[in-house]
Amino acid sequence: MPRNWPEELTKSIFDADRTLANELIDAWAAEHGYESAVTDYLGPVLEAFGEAWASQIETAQASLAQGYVAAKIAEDALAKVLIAQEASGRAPRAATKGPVVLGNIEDDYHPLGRKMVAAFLRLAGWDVRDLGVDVAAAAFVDAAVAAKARVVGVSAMMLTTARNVRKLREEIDRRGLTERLQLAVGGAVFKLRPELVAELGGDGTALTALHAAALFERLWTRSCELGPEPGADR
Amino acid sequence: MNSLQRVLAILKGEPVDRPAFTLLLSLYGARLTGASLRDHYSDPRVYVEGQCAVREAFGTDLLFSPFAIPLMAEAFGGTLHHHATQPPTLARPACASAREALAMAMPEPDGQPALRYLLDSLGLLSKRLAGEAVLVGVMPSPVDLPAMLLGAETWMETLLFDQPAALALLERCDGFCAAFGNAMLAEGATMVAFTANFANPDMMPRKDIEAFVLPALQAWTAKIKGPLVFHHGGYRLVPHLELLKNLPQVVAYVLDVRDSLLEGRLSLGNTPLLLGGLDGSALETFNPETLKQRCHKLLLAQKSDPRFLLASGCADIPLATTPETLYAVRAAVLEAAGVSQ
Repeated sequence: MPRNWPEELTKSIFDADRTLANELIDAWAAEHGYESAVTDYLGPVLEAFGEAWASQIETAQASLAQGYVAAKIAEDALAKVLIAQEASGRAPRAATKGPVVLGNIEDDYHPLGRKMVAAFLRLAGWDVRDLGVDVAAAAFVDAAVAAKARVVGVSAMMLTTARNVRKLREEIDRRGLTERLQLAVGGAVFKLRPELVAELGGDGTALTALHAAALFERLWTRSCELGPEPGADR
Repeated sequence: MNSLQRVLAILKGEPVDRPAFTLLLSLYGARLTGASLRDHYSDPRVYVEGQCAVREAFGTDLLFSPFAIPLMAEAFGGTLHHHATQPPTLARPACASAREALAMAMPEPDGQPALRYLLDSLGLLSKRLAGEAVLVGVMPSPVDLPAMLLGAETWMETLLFDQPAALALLERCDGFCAAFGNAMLAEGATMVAFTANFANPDMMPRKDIEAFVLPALQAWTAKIKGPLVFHHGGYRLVPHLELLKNLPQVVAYVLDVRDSLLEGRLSLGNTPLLLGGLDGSALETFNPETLKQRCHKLLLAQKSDPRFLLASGCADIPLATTPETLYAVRAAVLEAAGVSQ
């Protein structure tokens, strides 16, 4: 009976078994290389895992930690791609999408979800400029304009800090970047109160960190349809 | 009946004059006194004035010590960020790793200004309201305290990938949390409310919880010499109560607003006090009449549950919530008992 690679890796992630997941990825890479391990193996497995995980989270059958372990496995795999490329003397794996800007909104110091999003976006090929925690609205837009980013992703955990997302919405609009710079919002409070996405001026949100890559694709495409990238006229 | 008599009667399943209720107005006291949040969260006298003002304005049966768990992080050397509209949050934890935390000496329960503030707030509240109101001390359990020392991410990483260090840190925190919980009771707390998010299967894999997180939580609750309240801490409790119930000393559970009160009661049996029904952080979005109707419905639905207590869960009720909104909760409670206002 042939080995079921996706099933084994999926199970290791649900078991929060980072060691086993890395062993599986190493075994795949021994035959196909680490680029393939990311693109052909881990990527599709995480996509399927994301769907199952989100549904199991809703029914209290899965934990946040499983998503966190998935993000760590993604980071591990990307690090191995870099090491393999350096060892072979090839140029480092370049991001194929973006850049995009990420950060926790002003006054928010809860980085866990944002870091998970950054890991999954990078695995999906995005060039992520991560600004960290407690980022002022102007700093988000400055970074997006400097990088010519079409999407900015902002995280907030509590209602009180989520309100500062409105400042970012206003800053984007004030600089004439409405629609061209898309605003992705995420964090616990947006799951509890989905109406906040529109209320605070977000252009979209994702069900989980694993769904962020699809959201950013959608927002990036929308921005492209609506005008030149922010900073194009600089 | 005064508040303490009412809640004690409810705990025994005895009849009461009206439903008991509480709102998490730890922060809101500052709005009533006009104090700056810096003073509110550092001077116990200022904090206590706020809680007394809360009691006078809204008549809540339970009052709380400062719901500001990050203050504990400060006592361990972490850096806080102070806000204009919310309690302080952890900006930078004291330690970068569990190993670093293990090398650090644990403070005495009253050995740091931030800890002294938390305890003195209870002590002063007790001097003012002992025998009248239920005073609840608020603290993290030893399974959550490490998140204050290391940050939530590093603590989760330790639990998942470095279990020897996690176990050692749980043991260190157990000693501190037992001493602190008992110090709260000694200062006059009627009961101590704790969070245990890292024992919740919404947060951590069940196998790790069963293997070593829950045993640590059980060991700690057994050391507390008074009643404990299990607060949901922002996560659902009801789907996991089969695992989390029956902890020593726990007499009450504060459920998440997503939790079913009925299912919670079925799972817990008749004895424990069940608190919940309202999402405190969302109260500001209600108009008073809508909120009153919601409270009426809740109280009616729970009428056959003698150990239900209408309460706000989640985080503090925001400062922007109008007093009229909060009066509406009280009005609903009084109307449910047929008391004219």
